[in-house]
Amino acid sequence: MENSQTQQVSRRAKILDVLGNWIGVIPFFIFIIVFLILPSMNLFIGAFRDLNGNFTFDNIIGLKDPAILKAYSVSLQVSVITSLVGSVFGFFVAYAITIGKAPKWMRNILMTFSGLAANFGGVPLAFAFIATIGRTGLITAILKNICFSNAAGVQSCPLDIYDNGFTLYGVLGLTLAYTYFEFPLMVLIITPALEGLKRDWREASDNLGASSWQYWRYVAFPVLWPSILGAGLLLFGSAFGAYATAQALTGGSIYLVTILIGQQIRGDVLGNPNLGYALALGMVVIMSITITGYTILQRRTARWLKS
Amino acid sequence: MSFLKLTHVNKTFADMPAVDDFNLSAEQGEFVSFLGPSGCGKTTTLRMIAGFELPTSGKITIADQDLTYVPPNKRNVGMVFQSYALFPNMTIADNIGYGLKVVGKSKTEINKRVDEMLDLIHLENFRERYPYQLSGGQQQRVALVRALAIRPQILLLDEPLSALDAKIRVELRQEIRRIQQQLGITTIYVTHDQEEALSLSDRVVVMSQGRMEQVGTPSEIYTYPATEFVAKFVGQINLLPVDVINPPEGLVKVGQQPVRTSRALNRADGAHAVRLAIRPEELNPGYLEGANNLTGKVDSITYLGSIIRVRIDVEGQLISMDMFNERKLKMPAVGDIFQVNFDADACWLI
Ligand SMILES: Nc1ncnc2c1ncn2[C@@H]1O[C@H](COP(=O)(O)OP(=O)(O)OP(=O)(O)O)[C@@H](O)[C@H]1O
Ligand SMILES: [Mg+2]
Repeated sequence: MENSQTQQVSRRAKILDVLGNWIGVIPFFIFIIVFLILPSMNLFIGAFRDLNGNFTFDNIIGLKDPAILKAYSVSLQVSVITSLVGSVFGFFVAYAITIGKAPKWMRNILMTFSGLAANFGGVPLAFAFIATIGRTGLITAILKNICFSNAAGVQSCPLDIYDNGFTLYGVLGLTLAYTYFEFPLMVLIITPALEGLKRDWREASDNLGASSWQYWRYVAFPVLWPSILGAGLLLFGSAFGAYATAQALTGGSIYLVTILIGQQIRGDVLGNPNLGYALALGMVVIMSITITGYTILQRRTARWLKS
Repeated sequence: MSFLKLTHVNKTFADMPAVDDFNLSAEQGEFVSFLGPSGCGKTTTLRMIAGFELPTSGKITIADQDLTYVPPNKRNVGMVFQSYALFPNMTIADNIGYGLKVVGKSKTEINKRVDEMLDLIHLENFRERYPYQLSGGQQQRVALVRALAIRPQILLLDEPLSALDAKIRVELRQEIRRIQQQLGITTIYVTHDQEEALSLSDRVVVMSQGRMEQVGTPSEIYTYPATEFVAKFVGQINLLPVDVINPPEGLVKVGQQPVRTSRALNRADGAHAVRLAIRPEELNPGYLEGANNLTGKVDSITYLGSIIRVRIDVEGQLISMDMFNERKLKMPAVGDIFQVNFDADACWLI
């Protein structure tokens, strides 16, 4: 009798204990459920419904539309190019301020700048670009007025970029704008990884007769590879999912998947929210494939890391 | 003919001298230790031999070949780091074979050498493991043979055991010595642990503040320290201020008690403060006719395991005496009047 009573008491204590451990994360789970799980389910279900709420594959089949395929292709192109360019540039900057002999003050400036720039996006970023290298931007104007006259007295202005076919309001402009936040993001992520390369590894490699190139090929790069891959993926994702920058910069004239989704969901006459859901589902699938690929590669390259 | 030679080597970092006029000749197969306190320039000297630092002036030769300005990857000098510095992304076999792979040796040749090396450290079963799967001691053994795999002209070790615990340290240092003798490789060993230096080396270089204080065999260093620094740094020592009575006879006074030393005074000009140096283990309890005798009061008694250290207050000077801890020992009590004796040969003046 007494025994079962103490058992009950101890069980209650245990429950309270567990509750105590979990109570702190409850807001987090509520947040996740409300803003991630429910919308995802809604998106998934919506992709297989028509406007009247009946089950259908039409939305998925509708993705085969050439305009939509084109949008995916442009989105992928912009994301891949900007994440590659950003990765390479970011890597070299991070290299310069860690392993390279760049002075300390430069390192501080670059890290602060990267922290700011990596979070600079959306409409303000678009307007900053328009104000500098837009058709009437500051830099554009300065470049336009650098003119030379040749022996015959004919004036030429070789730096008038818009005369030479450049436009900020297309894919190239978008790539530039995205790179602006992608490359500092890379700097932020890869700097700690480069700092993790031990000087002793480099010296041991030298000591054993290896060249600098061999050190990078056999030691540094394999060690960095998982971080580079992860950073590249993050860059890809941030470009792939960007919407506001592209919308503000091009006014929706360029077909990215995100812009297309916006058009479908905004609810004007031409819009079909369910097609929008299907488009979004397509993006989710692409990101999932990328992340899975990353995980597999990462596991293979980092099997020597302590788990 | 000396094999490794450092001549008037200097190194300054931003006007701060780190190594000051370093001169050393090591014979082929010799084991030389650099011993000194933190910051005395041991690592810097070693790194100049490896090529990671350039001397500000001076010359470094190995087998009569001037290496002073040869880049590190062209020196064929093996180095073992305090942190092991194994490549984390490679197996043990790949780590050991790295130096052979980068110079384009064939797979079979590399494999054969890796087997030999693993055999040397008895880690044959760890071939395909990664460094993180090994203990610190095992990792350092791998680092040792990785450096040896390339058949270097000399082997450099920078405090290779200081990250390991005491027991492994003793085990591994014997293993290092065994392998060194087996291969007959000229070795420079940096340490701040006097026991390591004395037990391993053919010769010891004692350093302080970038300068060489003394070079000699372990027994020379311990028995005849050339300077006060060496006397204090290597082993325990009593240094007692004395009044000189008769320089040629080496006769001095500790307080009011006369002491005779067998070696004549070299600095007994009276201008310098002269001190009597004697190791704690040279003192014996009790009075002995014909020896030096000092009388004082027991100040403290410390048990150090196999040794008991008794501190005696002799007219205001504290003197340490070490005795083996034997059961039959009759210990004095603190405050007792106590006599100690020692040979004239056992003490000297500095
Ligand atoms: N790269 C460097 N730049 C500036 N000063 C340095 C550099 N490397 C060493 N020093 C200085 O040179 C002196 C000798 O250093 P070193 O590392 O050779 O000492 P050590 O004897 O190896 O000491 P420890 O036992 O602590 O390893 C120290 O005063 C140190 O501060
Ligand atoms: Mg050192």
